[in-house]
Amino acid sequence: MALSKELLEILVCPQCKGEIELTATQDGLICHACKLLYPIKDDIPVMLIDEAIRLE
Amino acid sequence: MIFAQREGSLRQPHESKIYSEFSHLYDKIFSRFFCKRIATVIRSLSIPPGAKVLEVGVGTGLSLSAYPPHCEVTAIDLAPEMLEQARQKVIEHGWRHFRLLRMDALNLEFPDNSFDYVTSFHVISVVPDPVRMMREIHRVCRPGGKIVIINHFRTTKPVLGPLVDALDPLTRHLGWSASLRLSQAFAGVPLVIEKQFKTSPFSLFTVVLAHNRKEVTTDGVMH
Repeated sequence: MALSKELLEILVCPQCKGEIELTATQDGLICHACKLLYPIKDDIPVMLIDEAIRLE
Repeated sequence: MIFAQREGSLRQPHESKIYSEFSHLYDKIFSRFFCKRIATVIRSLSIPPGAKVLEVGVGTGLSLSAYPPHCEVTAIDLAPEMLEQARQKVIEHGWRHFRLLRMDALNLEFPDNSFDYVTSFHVISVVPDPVRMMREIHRVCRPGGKIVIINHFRTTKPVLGPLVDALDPLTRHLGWSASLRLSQAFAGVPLVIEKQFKTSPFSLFTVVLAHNRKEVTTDGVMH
């Protein structure tokens, strides 16, 4: 159940509503502006601010 | 009281353990009540090839088999245990037209006008803020897009209504509110209700088919 390009294009960062990008390892979605990583667990992206990982 | 309430306020329906600890039993308990009606309604939409569909609160994926494989369905839910059941169904059937996301129905993380159809079955009486959920659905649905809701709404009948209200604390404990009125949930959301019906005279549930009245003006601003 890989993320489709179309879905990636319309998904937004839950915090800033800006663009997000798939990580190189395809295990998360990154918002560069907020420095947040939204993990993809068992193929399911977790689009919740509370569960995002803060990037240093 | 037959169960403990939180201090001073009613428990929120979505916090019920039915959506986490008992997710594996959910299909066994609810499929007979929900499945056929949901499938009939989805098939009646005749969703065209390539249409973009969002289902809000997909749960264990009871509805998934009814969507035609020629459309693209994005399905969201807040409960990871429920989504896992839905994921298993997608894998077992080898379906390629579904994308599952963990997301809050009150904060749909999509731009405006992203979907041709937005569906939601037996969810609106579960969320803490039904009006906000309807506003979010309206926002992400394109102008003229279809919105399809199936839910139990409080009857307007004089005797039965208050009786159902009295049961609300119990149903909240089990996982949903029984006192939500249709007019309450749709308040101020610019939708045209095309059809509002029950699939049988004794059904507890109402099917609402609406289209999004949102218009695009010449300045490109949505209203």
